[in-house]
Amino acid sequence: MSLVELRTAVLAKNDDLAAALRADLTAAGTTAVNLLSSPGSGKTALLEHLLARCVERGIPVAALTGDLATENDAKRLARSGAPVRQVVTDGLCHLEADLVRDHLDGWLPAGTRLLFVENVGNLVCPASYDLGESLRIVLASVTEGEDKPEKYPTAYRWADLVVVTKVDLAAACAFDEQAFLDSVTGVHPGIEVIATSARTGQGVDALLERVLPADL
Amino acid sequence: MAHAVVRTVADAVPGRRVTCVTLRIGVASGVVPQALAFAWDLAVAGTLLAGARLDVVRVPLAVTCRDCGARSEVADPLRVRCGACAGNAVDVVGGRDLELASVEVLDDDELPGADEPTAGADDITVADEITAAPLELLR
Repeated sequence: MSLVELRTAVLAKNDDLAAALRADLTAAGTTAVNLLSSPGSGKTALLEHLLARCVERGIPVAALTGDLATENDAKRLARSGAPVRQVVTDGLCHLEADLVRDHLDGWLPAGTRLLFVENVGNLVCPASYDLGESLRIVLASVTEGEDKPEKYPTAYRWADLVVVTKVDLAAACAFDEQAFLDSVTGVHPGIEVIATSARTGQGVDALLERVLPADL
Repeated sequence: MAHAVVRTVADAVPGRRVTCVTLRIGVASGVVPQALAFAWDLAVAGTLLAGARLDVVRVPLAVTCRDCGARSEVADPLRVRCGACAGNAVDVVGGRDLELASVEVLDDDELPGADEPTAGADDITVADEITAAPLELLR
């Protein structure tokens, strides 16, 4: 019996692919944004608005959207007029860097400045997989409860920005904003939080300004 | 994730029979050792890791403080603070680890005979057992 010391990252292949993808996208002037949330928190609805605003303003934008099954989200998002591609994971609960790269190769229009990657709705595994993004956003809807960050600390700890969705429903579900902010700050001190509503449009422009490359 | 571990081991020590795998898992890695252990037997079945023990070393969450400069371990991962000055202007510097630390492998003169995993058509039978096992557990 022999002991072999290795010290190898288990996700090294994914991490290496993601780093290469990030370098390629950055060199091409594309900012990639990875959107994480639980199912039903409003990623697609918010993304519909973000894509529509970009198209209105002439910003070259594109989106990949991941789901276990169906092309429903791609069809919804394509109504914005932006290039959209569905990633059907066929049961895989998260996106991985090679899936993203394979779906971008030969498809991502040249000159794309902003690329949204809507992850599979899940706050567990997606948190462990770097997709080559420059910005990772975790979304939480007001209907999910104020302690979501403490229940899924990994997703919140490695995010760059927190977006609260469906704030038009905050009063109806007695959402305690301060309790949510305390929960966020507990797991990720100092992280920025933006409140949005896809229904009223609140916060959508502020979010877009936050994710846009500095020269746009 | 268990499959990713098996693939990483297979790449690190190709062709070797593995009897023990030691992983370093950070408390902020998002990987729960109990869940990994649950999937372990299924992931290793029919591979050169079949029957291998899984040892997990937990790595604590560590931060450096932007105010006082101290590096400390975080006692409560849901209340991330500097362990020295209790400030919350901190950068997480450890605890995201998901690392294959070491493996124990059989040497050439220890290679087993009868219980050695067989390649080829038998793999299909093994795959069926993998499919059947979770259903058994669910009943």
